[in-house]
This record gives sequence, C-alpha cells and structure tokens, in this order.
Amino acid sequence: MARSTSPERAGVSPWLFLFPFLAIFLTFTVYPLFASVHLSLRQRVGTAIDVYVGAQNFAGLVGDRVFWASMGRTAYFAVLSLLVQLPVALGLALLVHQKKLIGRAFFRTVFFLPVLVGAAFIGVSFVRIYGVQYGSLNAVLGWFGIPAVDWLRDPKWVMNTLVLTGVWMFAGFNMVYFLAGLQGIPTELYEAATIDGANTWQKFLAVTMPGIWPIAAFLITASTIGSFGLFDLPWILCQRGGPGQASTTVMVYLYERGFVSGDLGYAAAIGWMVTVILLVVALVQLKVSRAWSD
Amino acid sequence: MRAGRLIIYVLLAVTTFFSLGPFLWMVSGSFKTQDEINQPGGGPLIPRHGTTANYEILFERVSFGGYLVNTVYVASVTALLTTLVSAMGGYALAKYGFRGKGLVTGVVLGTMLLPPVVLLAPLFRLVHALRLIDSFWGLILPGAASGFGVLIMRQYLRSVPNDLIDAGRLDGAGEWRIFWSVILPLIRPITSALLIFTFLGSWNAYLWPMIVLRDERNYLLTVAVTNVVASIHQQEYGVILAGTLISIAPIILLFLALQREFISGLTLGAVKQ
Repeated sequence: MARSTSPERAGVSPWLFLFPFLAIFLTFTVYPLFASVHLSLRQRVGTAIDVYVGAQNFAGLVGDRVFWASMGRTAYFAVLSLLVQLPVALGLALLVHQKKLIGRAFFRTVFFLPVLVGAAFIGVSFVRIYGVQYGSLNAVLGWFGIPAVDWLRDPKWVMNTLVLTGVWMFAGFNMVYFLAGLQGIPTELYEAATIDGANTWQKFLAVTMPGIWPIAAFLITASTIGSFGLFDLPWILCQRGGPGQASTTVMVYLYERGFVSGDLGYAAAIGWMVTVILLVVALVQLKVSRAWSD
Repeated sequence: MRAGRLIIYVLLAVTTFFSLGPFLWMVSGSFKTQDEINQPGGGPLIPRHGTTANYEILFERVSFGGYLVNTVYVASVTALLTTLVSAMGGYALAKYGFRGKGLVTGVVLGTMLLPPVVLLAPLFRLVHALRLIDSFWGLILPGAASGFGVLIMRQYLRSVPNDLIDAGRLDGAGEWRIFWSVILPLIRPITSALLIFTFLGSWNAYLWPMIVLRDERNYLLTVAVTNVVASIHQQEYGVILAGTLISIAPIILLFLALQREFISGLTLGAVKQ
C-alpha cells in the first residue's frame, strides 16, 4: 500500500536538504560578515593585534588620500569600461545576429573565446604585447601609422590599457547577453516599423533599444560591481598597481593594507566603505533605469 | 547594399583579428627561441627555429604537472560540491512549505547584494583559525554555499511539476530517493550550467588561492604561472607563454566540446529572480 507523507517527515526533510548549505553559509558568509564589522573597529598596535579603536579606521579612511585616489581610479575604470565595452558588445551582437551572415557560429565562438581566459593568465602573457618598443600591439598599430604608446609604463595611460584589456576579455561575454536580448524581440515589431516607413536607424532606436534595455541595465550593474573587484590585472600586468600607484585600484589597496602590511582591521574598513558606496551607486542606477524605461 | 555587406565583413575581419591575435601570438611565442621572441614585435608569426624547449623547461624544472593536477582537483571538487549543495538547498526552498523559509530566502538574497570585497579580511582570519591555510578545503568550502547557486536552482526547480514528486511518494520512495533519482536527472540543464560556471570560476581564481596557499607545491595554475614561472623565468618569455597556454588549453577544449552548456552556464546571471 502507498503511504502518504506524515507531517513530521515533511517538517524535517526541508531542513535536512538545506543543512549542507546552511552549515557552510553560516560559517563562511554570515559569520565573517559580523566578524568584518568587529574587525573594522580594531587595529594592530605594535605587537598587539585587535586593539579596539572605535571608528578610528573609518576616520582615517575619510582622510586617506591614497584610498580616495584608488577609488577615483576604480570609478574611472568602471565608467570608461561601460562607455567602451557595452557599445562594442552591442555592435558585435548586432553583427553576428544577422541571419544571412556567413560563418555566424564561427564568429560567435571567436568573440567568446577571451571570456574563458582568467585575468591572471592575461596578466602574465600580455606584458610583451604592451611593450613600448618591442611590443606587438605597437607593431600592429605602426602598420597604420599610429604612433607608439607606452601602454604599461605611462602613469597617465595605464588605466586606459586596463580598460582596453577589459574590453578584450569581456566584450564577448556581454555580446552573448545582448544576443539573448535581440532574440527576444518579436520580428513583427520590425515588420510593423517597416510598414510605417522607418529606416534602419529609426528601427534601432524604436525597436531594438527598448528591447535590449533590461539586459543593458543588468549589465551596467553587474559590470560596475565587477569593476570594483578589479585586482588580478593591475596586480600582475601592471606589477602591483604600478607604475608608482598609477593603477592601484581600491582592491589592490585593500590587499596591500590588509595582507602585505598586515592591517586586517583597516582592510575590513575599506571593504565596508566600498560596499556602502556601491550600494548607493546601485540604488541610483536602479532609479535611473526605472525612470528611463517608464 | 553591397557596400553595406563589405563594411560588415571588414568589421568582422578586424574584430576577429584582435580577438584571436593574442591567442595566435601566444602559441607562436611558446615555440620560439629566446633570441627570436626578443625581436621587435616578438618576431614573425611562424617561428623560424621552432623549439619545444619552453615546454620541457616547464615540466622538468618547474613541475608544472603538479599544478595542473592541483587545479583540476580543486576546480572539480568545488564545482561538484557547490552544485550539489545548491541543488539540495534550492529543492528545499522550491518544493517544501516550512516555517522559516521566508527568512532563509531573505538572508540569502540580502548577502548577494554584498560585494565579495567585504568578506576578504574576516574570511582570512576564519580560514586561519580553522587551520585551513595551505589546505585545498580552505579554497573549496568558503564558496561552496553560493547564494546565487541556491536561488537559480530554486527558480529552475519551481518549473518541475509536483506530480512527479507525489508519484514518487505514492510509490513509497523516500524523500532523498525522490530527489536523487527523480529530480536530479530532470534538472540536468541547470546542473551542468552551474557545474561549468563554478568550475571556470575556480580554475581562473587568483586572489584567494594566493592568500590561502603558502607551500609552493600546493599552488594552483594561476598562482604558479604568475608567481613561480614568471619570477624564475622572468627573461624567458617563451616559458611564460607555454605555461599560460597549458593553463588555458583544457578550458578552451572543454568549451569547444560543450559550447551550449558553457554559454548557458556563463549567462546564468541573467536568469530573472
């Protein structure tokens, strides 16, 4: 005979299924979150670790020029990445979205390949691509008469190099998202626009843009949060945020203070400061994108 | 119209060149001698004096095979554990009604808004206190309870009809049996996507492995290529390129074999909650 689920069994089963997740989650996410607050109020004083100092770390942070400079660089990277990367990704998506294109699958694969390569591997292997005299990028640009750029050692240019490298790494990733958005736009909308006499550009503004706006809004938020975690590239490609501190992002600074100098309390405070700023930015982005889509 | 076509193919050619260029350049450079790679622009694309010396150095002097084994192990265990833990948690949230469900979901959602930056310092303290420094578990466990993983699993599992679960219960199958032999086979698209997503993330992770692993023999490929290979062979650029290629080749081959799963794995983030 079939038996029905007894109430007791139904009561325990979900908790048994949740147990592995909850055990690890409470230990490695929730606990460190509280520990992070605790830690951010402490400092290492001489040989004594974890001396309670109140809000001193945060007060120090407010006046810490290196920190704000690193925030400025990170924000520069975040904004410029959006401005360059999203149009490039959308362009790629529009190119490979065309039904009649020969070699469509090939191009999609090619544009996606860089997404698979970890930033650490790019960091070590791209050093010579970016060399000023012997670098292969300058050699290629030279064919078109473009003067040599000192990609990695010019402090005024190095953040742009990181943005470009980011475009190489992630354009294909964003392209795939845009493609999903483009595929979701009903063809009838384009047909209707054609009947109304719209040209290609008008169709792009009236049909394509509204169709992919939700995807774009998601990518803007995801990319901004990702930008604030930028570490591997400046640390490896630019040798610890160099030249000088020209590519010291906020994550590089956090690592240096917390793990090179050993002041974990200060690092925790940096982490919270970045989190609060990012939450505010995310809220503003959400409001703006809602206002736009209305 | 013809001019339009031409422009499209020119654009495609240029973007393909910049997309593939670095890969071709790495392959070519890894087979070059020191002298050749030190020429302006890195020498010609087809090496004139092709050599496998760079690869030999990698395996004879740097014990690169060990790093490869470590990375395959850590990435596989991370992917399997994270996916199983997420599927179980997601199943509980999607298919059972119980007190505290809203609270669990809310807390998980809340932590997803936090950038990982904020946990770095306290997590290091914790892993240190648990004596997991220099242990692979110090790499695997902190990420194994992924809020993101549980939520996408919950989302997907909601679309699985309850009839199947009820039928299993009527047949007298236990709750675990139903999950393991009815549900898991049904949700293979999402499990393979999450497996790939976590595998790739673990394979390419650099900062946390650099913090947790101290003993050089435990290094993963990212840390080994940047810290061991690049510092010992700073002037031998071909060795660095060979190391990079061996590190990324398994992922690229896996991608070419499982393209669809990769694309859905890497676009998991777009799943609407």
